[in-house]
Amino acid sequence: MPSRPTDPAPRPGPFDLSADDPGLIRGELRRQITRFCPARLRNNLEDIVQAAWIRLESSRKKNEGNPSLGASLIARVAFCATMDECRRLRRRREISLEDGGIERTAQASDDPAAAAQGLEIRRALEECLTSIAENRSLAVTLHLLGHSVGEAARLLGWTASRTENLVYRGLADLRRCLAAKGITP
Amino acid sequence: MKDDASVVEALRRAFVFHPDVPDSKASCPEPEQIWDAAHGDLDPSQTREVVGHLRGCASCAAEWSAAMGEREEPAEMNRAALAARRPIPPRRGLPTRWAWAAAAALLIVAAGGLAILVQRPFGTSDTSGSRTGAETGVRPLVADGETLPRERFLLRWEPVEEGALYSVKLFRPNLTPVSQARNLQQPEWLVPVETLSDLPSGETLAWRVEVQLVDGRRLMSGAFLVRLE
Repeated sequence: MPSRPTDPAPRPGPFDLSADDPGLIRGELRRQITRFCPARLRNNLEDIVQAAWIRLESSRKKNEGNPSLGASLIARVAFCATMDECRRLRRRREISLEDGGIERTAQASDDPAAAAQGLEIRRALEECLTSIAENRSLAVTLHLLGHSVGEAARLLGWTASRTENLVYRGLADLRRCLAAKGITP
Repeated sequence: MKDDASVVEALRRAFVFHPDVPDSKASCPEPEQIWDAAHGDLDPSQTREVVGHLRGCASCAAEWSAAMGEREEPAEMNRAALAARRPIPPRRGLPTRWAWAAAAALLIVAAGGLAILVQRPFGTSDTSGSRTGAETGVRPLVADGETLPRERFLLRWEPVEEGALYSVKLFRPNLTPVSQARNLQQPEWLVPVETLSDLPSGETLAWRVEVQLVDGRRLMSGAFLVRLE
């Protein structure tokens, strides 16, 4: 399998597995995996790339008549291969808890006190989110994950106005619940 | 002192925080499902199942967050809240500053411009706050803290542009919705008297306006204060 010391520049548009340079596609795969991959997993980068490549081949074989691969498909394969590896290693406890699972979420671990408080808040959020009305809870969850009302409405299959209302009411419920747990402004 | 943006970010970080609990449970959705749900490629009912799982599974929530990729822009509701750009004052008697920050973030997100109300007494004449909605071009024609009669509780504001539609929400100080109106063509709303019947005299309420511009964009005002006679 060819390898490149540096990844080629990202290329928009579809990739053709049967015609394009495999190194080009592999480079794009590696670039996408790097986006998702925690730093502590970087030593496993080539393993993940290889696993993703196999997935990509498999996907191509399932779609023989259409050998072209969209950039979004490559990103999806890269994401799934990376998360599978994260999950596998976490199950084996090869990633210590201080490392965190997803690198961007591990920032709080730099400060143990903040990490403990973050965990406390997270658990309170979990408890509160599971205790409020289902639809409100779903809308608020997506809101906390950074989705706009429009996006949340599309994902959940509701109208924007309904979703907005659910977010507002859900946040009010959440606030009350957190206050009951002693987290009050 | 953290500003509003960092507080909101702290809350989000808390939500995708990776706790010291066993994860990747057998019930966890496959990464493919998480990716597809986050990108709108799943049926909404399936997406709701996945999102329901995220509430109690920090690792999957973190994966969802990663699947969303690099999102530089906060959600639109947060933008309205962040527009206030007002630092959150420290409070005493709280478990931790972080806990306060996260809780304050909830308040800010929930209330949008109402966060400003929490930071100052109701009914004062201070108009220096950014809740006047100047950021969105919505200027109230009801004076700050003005007392309005129950029978003619008329909220008015300057028109933003011809053809714009307005939606208005009226809240109690505890953020309980009192009443709302949608798609108003005129920049005013006479609040139905029956929706005010249970409120005590002297109650201070907050209202905010969402504007749908002709080109489809939506703008959200800050929160304005008004008192019930």
